[in-house]
Amino acid sequence: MMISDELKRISRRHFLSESAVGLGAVAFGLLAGCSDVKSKPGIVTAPVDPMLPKSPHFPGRAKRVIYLHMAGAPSQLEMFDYKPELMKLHNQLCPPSLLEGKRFAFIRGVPKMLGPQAVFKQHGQSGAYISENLPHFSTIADEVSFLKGVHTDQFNHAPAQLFVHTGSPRLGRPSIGSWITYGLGTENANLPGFVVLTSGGKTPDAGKSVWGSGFLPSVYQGVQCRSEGDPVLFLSDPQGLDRNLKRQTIDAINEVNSQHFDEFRDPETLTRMAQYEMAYRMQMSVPEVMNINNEPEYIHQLYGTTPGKASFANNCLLARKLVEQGVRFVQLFDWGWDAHGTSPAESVDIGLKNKCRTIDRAMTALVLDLKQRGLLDETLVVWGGEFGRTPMQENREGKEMAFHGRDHHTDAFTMWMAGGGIKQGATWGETDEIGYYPVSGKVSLHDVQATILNQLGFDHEKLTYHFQGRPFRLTDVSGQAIREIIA
Amino acid sequence: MKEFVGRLHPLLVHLPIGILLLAAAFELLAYFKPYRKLRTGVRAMILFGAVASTLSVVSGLSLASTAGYDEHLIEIHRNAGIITTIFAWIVFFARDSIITLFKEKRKRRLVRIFLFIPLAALIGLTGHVGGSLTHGEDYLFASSSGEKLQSLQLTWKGDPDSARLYADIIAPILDTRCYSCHGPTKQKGQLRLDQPGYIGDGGKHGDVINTLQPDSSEIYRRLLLPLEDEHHMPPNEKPQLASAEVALIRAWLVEGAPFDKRIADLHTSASIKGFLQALSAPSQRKRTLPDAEVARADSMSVTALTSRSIVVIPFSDSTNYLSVSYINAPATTDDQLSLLMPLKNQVLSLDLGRTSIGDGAMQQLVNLPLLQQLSLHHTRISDDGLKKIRTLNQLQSLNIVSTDITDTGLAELQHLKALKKVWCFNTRVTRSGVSKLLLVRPDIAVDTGGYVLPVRVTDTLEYKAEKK
Repeated sequence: MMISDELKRISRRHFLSESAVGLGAVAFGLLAGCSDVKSKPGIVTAPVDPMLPKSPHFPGRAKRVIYLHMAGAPSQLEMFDYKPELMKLHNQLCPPSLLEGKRFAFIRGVPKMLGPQAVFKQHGQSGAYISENLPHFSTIADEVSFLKGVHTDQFNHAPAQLFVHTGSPRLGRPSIGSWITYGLGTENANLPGFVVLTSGGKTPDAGKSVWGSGFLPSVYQGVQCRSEGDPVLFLSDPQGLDRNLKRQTIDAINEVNSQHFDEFRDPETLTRMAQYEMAYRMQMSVPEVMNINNEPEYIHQLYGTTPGKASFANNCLLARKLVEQGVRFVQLFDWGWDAHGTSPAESVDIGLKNKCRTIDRAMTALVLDLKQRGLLDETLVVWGGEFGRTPMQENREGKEMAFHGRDHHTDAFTMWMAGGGIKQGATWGETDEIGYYPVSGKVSLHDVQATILNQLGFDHEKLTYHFQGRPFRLTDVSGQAIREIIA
Repeated sequence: MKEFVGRLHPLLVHLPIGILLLAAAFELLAYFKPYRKLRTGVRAMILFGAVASTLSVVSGLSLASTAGYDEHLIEIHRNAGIITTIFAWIVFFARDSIITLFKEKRKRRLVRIFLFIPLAALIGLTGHVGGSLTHGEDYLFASSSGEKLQSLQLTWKGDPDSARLYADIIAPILDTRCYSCHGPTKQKGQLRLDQPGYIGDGGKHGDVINTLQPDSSEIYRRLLLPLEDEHHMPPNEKPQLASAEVALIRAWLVEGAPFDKRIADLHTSASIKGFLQALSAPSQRKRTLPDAEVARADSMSVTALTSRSIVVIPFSDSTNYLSVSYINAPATTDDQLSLLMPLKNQVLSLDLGRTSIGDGAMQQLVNLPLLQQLSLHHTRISDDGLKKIRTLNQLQSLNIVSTDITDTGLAELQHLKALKKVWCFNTRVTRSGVSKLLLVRPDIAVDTGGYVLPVRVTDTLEYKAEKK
């Protein structure tokens, strides 16, 4: 009786749309639907909020993550990876052994070696080498752990960025922030669990997929906020619509959606309902949290922020405010690190120095501000690009270029992490004399992702989602938490 | 051809074991009347068993000559296998004649059974030694062998400078990761690594150490191959080296693979000490909870809190200890905290930041004896309030950022025995107040915040291309 009722609800159109996923899904959907109807006849079950806080696999050291991504890939050789030997080889032709069997994005023929275009000094008790491009960051060398031997297998920006954030160079996988909000939910009921802020004038090459939810329910995708103008577009009410009427509208819509969910049990309906509710609450909470005007002057001085201007510094301050309010994952993208040597702005001795200046004070301030508020202990800060840059000077189309630049390099680059149960003042990994290959402590991006999940209390092999007939995970089929930088 | 026959050995050996033991079992059952019919099959089974053992011996002899195994064990295994086979044939041919020596029916039945006892014993011995050859001598009884392989135990302790690189560090790594296949019991690929001399000898593919080009040393190169590569060492299914162990092996090779030097005498002693630290630092990878697990919190009491937008969440899937946050309930006042009390055996972490609580709440927090982590930032608590929580002797961290706490309140914290961290940025605590606390409690880390980054010329310096 019940089964036949359920069958009648499947229209031809519904059948066809479901067929796209596969008949198996229809069968499963029916079975699941039936059992529910049988067990609770006539009762409309209240849909569970998919963002409710959840427990991880084991007690985590971190509760939140701030991920600072320098889109375009910063040069490790002018920031963290000190290679005096490379200086001696400056302007010499690259030995063929480094080029055999290699593919580069732009280097053709035999390029020249390019010595470090910055002066390095050791800093802190740990004696970490940091270049003069980062004078403020150098003062907190003992707060962070460096990974000097990170490698990837993608040498183009978009796939490499996807790899960093979704564990796969191809489109369609959920991003780290989505996995984490899927696993942990979020504590603040009035704010999204996963917020994205961009600076540098452009969004990442890989587009919004780097904060997409892939095959996870779309409620877990990152919410992009702007640090200039309305933080979230179209969030404020149109003229003449007051908050009461808005409430009634949403109640009516959700009533209909609730009936729809009861009929078809599509998780996307839940997402839609949760989004309406969230948007309603965000109308109040977002303008407040995204407003940095009320911050005291000493905080603006610390970060180097100018209210009302879209900048990396403003985004760092916002990131602190967001995690303070219980946002689970804040993702910052800063565009403009692709120093090929095609123009002054894209060179390792001019443009890169200017880019470094825009992040140096801000990211240092972020770490210190989290620390003084007692947030750094449980907030993991991750910094990195999508790959590194070559020890060779780029020679696009085999010609010498007007400015000093470096090509994309996949074999070794530097990332750092701080807080959230990461060692203070540690360095893991070492590259060869010219920074070409890691000679010890080589880690993959899956290892980095496994480490992030580990700090939050997840076994990266067990945080899975069933899709297209098999469980998927962020780290695909590899990865290992990097024990050496975990405190 | 010889190799192929040898590789059949692991398959063939199980046939005589199974067949002959089944024959013995049939004979034993046939002693009892209802099963007497089983006896008709026994003779044929002994024949099959004897043939299978002969094939096992032949294949075993081929295998022994191709792979490197412990010679002493191989000898026992070979002899036991041959004797077992001969004995099986003797039983097959001579059984009837032996039985006819006895007249009494009952004795005959017993003799039939007794003939199998030495055979079963021989099979057991051969099989056990064979197992020791493939799985290692301590395979059967060393219950913790799995764990022993997983974690490297460096025997040496103390000053890293005085440690001997090979004897104290490299050899133990090789011991845990390599000796089981390249040691006294087995020499896969004809390679033995348990003595300096053997390491120098190399294996089937030549030298394993190349001091001129350390990175192409076989002993190191194979560690770096992808796990799926069939030449990767240790094999995929075996416990792998930690990255710091790999780094140490490389450091040893770069130093020219010395067997006698102390770390202090080496050029790269600094980085070696770094790897050692990475290896030996006690890794507290997880947040620590009390050892004893606790009963699940009463669900009605939990709902009473969650229905007021208070976040109540277990630390993990497998514990009942709770973390409670009032982040969504800023209007909470002192008297509403009584709702927490039914959870007093579960709550370890409590965030009351930005709520409307004051000193009255402190009186109630004393009733949460297990509290490890307490956050009171942006609240109206005062020095008097901190006086009240003296008895929270599990409290490890306390956040009083942006409160009116003064040095008097800070001084109260010396009574909190387990306290390790205090954040008191944006309070009325002074530097002298902090140093007074640190005089009596040097183990507490006090963060007073107020960090400033100096203004630098470079902060505003815009780099531009030089005009050409």
